[in-house]
Amino acid sequence: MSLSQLPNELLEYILSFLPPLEIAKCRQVSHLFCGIIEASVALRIHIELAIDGLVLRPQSEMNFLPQNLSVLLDKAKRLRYARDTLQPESMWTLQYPGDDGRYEASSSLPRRRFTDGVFVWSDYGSNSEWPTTIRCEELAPKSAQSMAPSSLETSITIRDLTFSAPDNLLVLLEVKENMYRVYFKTLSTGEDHPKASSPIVEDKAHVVLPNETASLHLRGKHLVQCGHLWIALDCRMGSVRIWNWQTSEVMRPNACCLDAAFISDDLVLLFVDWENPEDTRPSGIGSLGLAVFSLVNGQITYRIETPFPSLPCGVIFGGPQESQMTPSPAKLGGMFASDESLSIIVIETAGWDTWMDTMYFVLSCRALQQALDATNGSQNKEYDIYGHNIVKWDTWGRDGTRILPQNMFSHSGERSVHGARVALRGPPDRITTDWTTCRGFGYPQEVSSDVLTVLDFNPRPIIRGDPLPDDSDDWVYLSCDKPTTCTIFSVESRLVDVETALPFRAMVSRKAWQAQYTQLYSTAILRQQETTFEIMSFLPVGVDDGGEGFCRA
Amino acid sequence: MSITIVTSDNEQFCVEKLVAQRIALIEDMVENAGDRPIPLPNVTASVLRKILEYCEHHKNDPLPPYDDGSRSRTTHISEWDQKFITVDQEMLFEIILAANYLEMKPLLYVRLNVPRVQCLTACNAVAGDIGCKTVANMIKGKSPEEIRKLFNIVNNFTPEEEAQIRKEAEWAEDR
Repeated sequence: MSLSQLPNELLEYILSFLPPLEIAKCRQVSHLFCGIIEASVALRIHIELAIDGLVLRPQSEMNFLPQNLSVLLDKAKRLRYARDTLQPESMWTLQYPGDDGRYEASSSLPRRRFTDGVFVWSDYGSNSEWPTTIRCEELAPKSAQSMAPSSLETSITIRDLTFSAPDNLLVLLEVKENMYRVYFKTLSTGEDHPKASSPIVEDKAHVVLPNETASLHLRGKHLVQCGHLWIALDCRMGSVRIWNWQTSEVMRPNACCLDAAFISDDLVLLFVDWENPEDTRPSGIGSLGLAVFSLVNGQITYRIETPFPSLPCGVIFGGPQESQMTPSPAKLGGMFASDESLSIIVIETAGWDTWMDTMYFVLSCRALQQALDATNGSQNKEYDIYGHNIVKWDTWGRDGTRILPQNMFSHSGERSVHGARVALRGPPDRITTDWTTCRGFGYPQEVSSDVLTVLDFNPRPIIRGDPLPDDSDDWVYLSCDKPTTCTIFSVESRLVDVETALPFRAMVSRKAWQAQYTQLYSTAILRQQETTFEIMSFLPVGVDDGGEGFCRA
Repeated sequence: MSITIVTSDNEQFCVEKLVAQRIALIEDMVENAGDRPIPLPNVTASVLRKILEYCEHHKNDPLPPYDDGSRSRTTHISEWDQKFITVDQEMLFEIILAANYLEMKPLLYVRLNVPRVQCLTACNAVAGDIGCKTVANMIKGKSPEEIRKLFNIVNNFTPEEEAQIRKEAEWAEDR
């Protein structure tokens, strides 16, 4: 009788007593050990949580996306390198938007992004000066393959940058006083891409101030292959520009844009700052609308809708002392998870200097995709914007019980939150939307782009779980009271470092146990299947959960 | 009241019912067996003796708290248990295996309809857990090579595979 002769489940159980790093180490022992660890969802979660401890995440959340162990460990290596080498003092979080290989880092520091193995940023924090140098760092310094030079001189003033990972392209947005231009550079050499750059987009109607936001969005993985990529140039308080890579056509819808997302190769969504002619408030806090662009028979068509035909202004209303509120247009913002696998689009508008009031709009990308797929024009479809894609779409009704959960954010007392709903009707070229709104109070943080990140995956029903025992060291547990939704919560508000992260593990409440914990994680990992359970996200550390008992006192 | 158990090597054990109740499999079988001896074809006498020693010592223990997974998993082992589990590797694995087979866990959880796979992890104070913790403690802090040596495991990785896995594990090592 030897250790290797024990049944696999017992070996897995034995390993589960080990700290995560020890578990990871045991992969090296033999094929048997390696196989058990890689097959075990529980052990992998063990390791994943330790890896997450590598990242300092002040007010952020983590997307719990399926990853195999190799990817996980690779991620860990990069995170460690980034943490130790690049900006050891900084706090940042990483998102894994899906299968296009592009990662995005968001932080309190200027926006930076990294793609496979390369971390690129451009510090453009100052209002008046934009950099002309892009810095690139290899995130996997030991890899033989070099993807980028350490720095890349450009003669343009960069406002935003993004990647097309498979094409090794760096896409730069230049904004000068009243013009935009998009440049493409080959990441490894810094050379201009043969496709050169977009036509200059001049905007004589709006002078773009240096501190206004302009950004670009692209669907990187289809940059070259599909040929009809659109790049949305947007500028707050300016006009939207959409550039068709293939035809060099530039579109200008008649609205201000807050944010844009590519839903599919032929559909772009823009959340727009809708200028309500009856709105007398300062520009920047106008109503919100949704612009749906679609490419039908090679023709770009678009339509703009407003969710608030009957509401004055339509952005933020209420609050205890409305007269004292100072609107802060710069805090209007959108946040998109523009990959279908994330299934969510969020726009969040907030920003009052004296009172934090936040409004969310959530729309499922997948729902839209399904709307596109629907060919029966007479069939009306509704989409649960908080149920994500875990509910069969054809089973939703209008009764609102699923669609508008009470206590969506589980805030207690007067910090009530209302739900939102978007219903989509019709075939792709005639999608219509119905909106209802939601409104939340009481997020304690100052609204920033980080908070947008935090918020965008929060809108979901929070289910009361069993509180942790006071003597527990654990910081994460999972609660689940019905077989359709579950949530992982962190209960520690402190920042963690690698060492203290070691004992962390996923905790599962009794209810979740009874809901077949293992199956739950398995199905979360096999997300493409019709799942009964789905893990949404972590509640960000330190966020007041409304006193529902998730956080330790 | 006592129960008769027959091991795989045909040795008979007379066991106090209170003790036997700590063993789920036997408890299940008692209800059907009546007065007949209970056969345990997967357990040898030497292992059963050891397990009964454990049950005897713990027969009056209160049921351990239900572990819903929200508690830290500790590898702490009490003094008596430590002494109990100080056996050679062969016996250690036999005990783990037998305890798993016998489902040594308080029956209360079985009656609560907690699924069995969860029961396995639900109870910390059974012999199998002590064995598993002991093995985990043996693994802890050792290099993969030391682990192989300790448990007589053949390294069946090719050099390329080993290099790959070691590369992936770098993040955990060079701290």
